[in-house]
Amino acid sequence: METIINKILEYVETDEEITAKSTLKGDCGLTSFDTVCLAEDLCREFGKNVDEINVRTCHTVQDLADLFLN
Amino acid sequence: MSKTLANGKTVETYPLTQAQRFMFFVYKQFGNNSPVLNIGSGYYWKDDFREDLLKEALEEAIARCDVMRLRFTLENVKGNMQVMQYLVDEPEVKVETFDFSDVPYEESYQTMKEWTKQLVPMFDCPLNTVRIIRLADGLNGMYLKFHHLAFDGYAAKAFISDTMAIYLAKKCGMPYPKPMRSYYDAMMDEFAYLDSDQRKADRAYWMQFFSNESEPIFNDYLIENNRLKKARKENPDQRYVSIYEGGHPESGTLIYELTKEESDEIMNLCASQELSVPCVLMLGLRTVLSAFNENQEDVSFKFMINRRGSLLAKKSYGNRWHFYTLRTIVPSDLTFRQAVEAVEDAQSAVFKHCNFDTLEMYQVKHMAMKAGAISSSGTNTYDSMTFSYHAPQDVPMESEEIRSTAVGVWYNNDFSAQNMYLTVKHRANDNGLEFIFEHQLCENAEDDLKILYPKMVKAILLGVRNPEITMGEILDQIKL
Repeated sequence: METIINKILEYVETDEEITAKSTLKGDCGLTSFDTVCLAEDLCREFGKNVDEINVRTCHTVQDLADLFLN
Repeated sequence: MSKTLANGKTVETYPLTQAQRFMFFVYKQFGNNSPVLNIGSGYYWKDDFREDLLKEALEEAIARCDVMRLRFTLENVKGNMQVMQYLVDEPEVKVETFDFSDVPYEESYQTMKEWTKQLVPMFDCPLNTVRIIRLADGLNGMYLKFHHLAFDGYAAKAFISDTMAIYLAKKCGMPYPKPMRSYYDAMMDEFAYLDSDQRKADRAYWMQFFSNESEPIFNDYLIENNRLKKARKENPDQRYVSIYEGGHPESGTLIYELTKEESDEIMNLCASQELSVPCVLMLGLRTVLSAFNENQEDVSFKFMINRRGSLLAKKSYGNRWHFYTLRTIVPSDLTFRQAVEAVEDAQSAVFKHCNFDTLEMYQVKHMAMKAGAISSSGTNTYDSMTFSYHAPQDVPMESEEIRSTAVGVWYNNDFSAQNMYLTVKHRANDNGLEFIFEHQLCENAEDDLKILYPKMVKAILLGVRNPEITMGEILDQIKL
């Protein structure tokens, strides 16, 4: 989870704490494009194929983590 | 390569990035005498104006903005003259004040529009203009004329945000903005991509995508002069049309302002129902194009991707725009929500491979498409128009009361590199939506856009108010 949160901080400047419950768009301020790029980075980090990942259904940091950590 | 400057200093020179190459390619279609690479914008507000502090803020923002030090040059590379870029030590941008406070607003607007049209020498000299402006009725602020190879719309707005944050830090002690990022680093990232495995993977993706794709079909925004219908008089099976975008860059502009109430309704309903705003807007556009073309389910148009993901990409200025086709096939029994998801999935698929440059994508398309189909390069195309959405960017203000006086102006230079370009952006004062249709001059274009806009808004409102409505029901309500 720490890897994912640190990666999110390469995409947004925020003074708010990011937790697993934070929403990607609302709380973190990520755009759709940010989210796709972030997923690409995480695919490289966790050895997954970006074309097999769909981030549209990810609403929270936890949802995103579930894609990569499970 | 390197270059020795007039002051005796030697600097490294670099080729254009892929996004710059595309922009320069588009510009060259019109020769050297059309100001298609000039971006003019203004940002004004009413406060107890401190011109001295705004001047300091602009000078600091210029110093924090690497591309103010960017220069272009022509170099002989293996026998061919090529445009190269380099960074100098000093921006050499002088901030001057122009006082139009006793001139009617419209007159000052026209003056700045004329400034925007004036051609700027491109090689080995400063490219950008920054001016403090005093307008009638107590509005004050800044006029910016930027070179499109150094700034895109996102970067221009980022410069305004940075300047305002510095101005407010000086004027009322608000937090000084965090540092901007290095253009050099962002440029090196772009060059590193060219030799990367990711680029090979993106190329392979597009090759496979176009090999498997059925032939798209052109959906015109013109009604009586529908160009596919005309082409089909000679060839009934034709699915593309020929549009020479380089012929007449003179353009007209229609600007529609959606009310704050309707804009807020769209934004709030999208947020509460977790619908993507740009995808809802693009669905509105594709639905009206469908309605204009006998409820065609298969609709394509170009869309602009500003490729601003990481903080390095967001805060390093430059031009990062790539243009890709967004094609969706939406059957009439899909609900609005399902159709938004279809648009979002199509958009995500492009996003994953959009660092692959626009010009090369056309070459891959040309090689990969099935016999009989065409690559949308040159004059033949399946896309009747281009869409871009400019998401709200935070411009700090001293108070909401002052924000309500803010005016953001785009000084259209009356030249457009594209056949028809719809930009949707947010107003400076109330965040309401503004629809800017910039169209090359052709018969009936304006009349047809006056029909297109209200139908597009109606389709969007019908959908966000009731996401379970079917696309067929929406098409029934916006039919010609």
